[in-house]
Amino acid sequence: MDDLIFIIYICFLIPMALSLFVMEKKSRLVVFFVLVGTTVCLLASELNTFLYNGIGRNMLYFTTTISPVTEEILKALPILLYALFISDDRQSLGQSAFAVGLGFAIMENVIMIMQNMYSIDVKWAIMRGFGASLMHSICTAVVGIGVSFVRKKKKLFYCGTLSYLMLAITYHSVFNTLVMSPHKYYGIILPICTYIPLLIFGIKRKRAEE
Amino acid sequence: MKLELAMNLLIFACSLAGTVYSLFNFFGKKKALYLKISACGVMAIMFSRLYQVVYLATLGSLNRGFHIGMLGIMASFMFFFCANFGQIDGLVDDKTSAFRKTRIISFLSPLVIFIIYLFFILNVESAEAKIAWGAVAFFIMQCAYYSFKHVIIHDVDLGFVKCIKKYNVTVLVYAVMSMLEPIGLYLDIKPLYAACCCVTALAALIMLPVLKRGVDKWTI
Repeated sequence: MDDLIFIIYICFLIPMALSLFVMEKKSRLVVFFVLVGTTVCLLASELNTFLYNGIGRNMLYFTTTISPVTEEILKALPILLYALFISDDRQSLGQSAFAVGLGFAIMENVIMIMQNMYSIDVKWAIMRGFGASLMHSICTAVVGIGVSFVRKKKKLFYCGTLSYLMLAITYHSVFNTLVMSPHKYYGIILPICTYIPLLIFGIKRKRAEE
Repeated sequence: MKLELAMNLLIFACSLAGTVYSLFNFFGKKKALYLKISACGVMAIMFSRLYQVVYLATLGSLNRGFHIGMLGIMASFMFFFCANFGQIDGLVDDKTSAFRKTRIISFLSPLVIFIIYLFFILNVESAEAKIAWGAVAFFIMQCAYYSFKHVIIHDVDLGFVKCIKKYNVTVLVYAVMSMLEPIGLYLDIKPLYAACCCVTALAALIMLPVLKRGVDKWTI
């Protein structure tokens, strides 16, 4: 099963990586970070398996306390490197961060499908799409936009980045707790309730700029 | 557990109100970064309490050692610290000997937090809780230092800090309550726990409106 996950990963890694050479700068950036997100997801999956076996706590504790930390740190790393060495422009950082989260969510969905192939249905897919996928993108976007706020000043950068990372971890953990509870379908509410105001805010801001 | 759930729900509701207020007033174009970072602090309180509410309501009691809600509390203090240290402190303290006395006196507030933490570790048995709250206390202490410093500093040149003195007092109150709250919870002193939570909720509710009122004077 693990091999199959890597096969699927390679199947969309190669064509997407090749398409990067013919794309425009903006699209290239987004596709590149989607690929980064999928790669990060594979790394997180391996790391989480290793930690789960090593720590020896139950699944509930692990998903509400450990995995949000590892996943958010791994997702934030490419964005931090991008902000440090390439660009601290708010729009491109926000979009790149959202793309990393998106790539991560896509790969996580693939892994989940492979692991639960015979027990999932359309309801599950909708729940994953609106819930976990959106949540991953929002968490990384929060870190990306937050970093763009604090990047300008060195004094702010380190403590600010850490704060946004901790905020993203807490948010991720709230979602995981809802999903692990008996009312797991309520998990969908949190990302939607966050996404809609963010979307309205973004659209309003764009209109004001135009 | 019912009290814990009710208190966390109260703080969540108040910080949610604070967050909604900040979304309309602090995140517009050309708004000071100080406002945005402080608003993120209240947002962190909100998510920290939401985590605890969700966990208590759906899965039962929280882990008495470390739980992610603590990370939200740390994040909130980190944001408040970040705003004061990164944005304002350089404007009011030029690092000359003129402010040496203020800098030394400012250590009083982290000292108070440390004394409360000392009381906590002497009376609570769980080693995991001691370590976890030690980490929280560290973040509270660094935030308390700058908040207290900006309350007592003689701001003659620009008047930036003078305008937001009330806000810094609110942050200080939140800092002390956050350190007293685990004492009430772990030692099962219900009145202390309830009082701390109510004051924290009030602080989370009024913090940002108080800050806005102060910051509005910056432009005058």
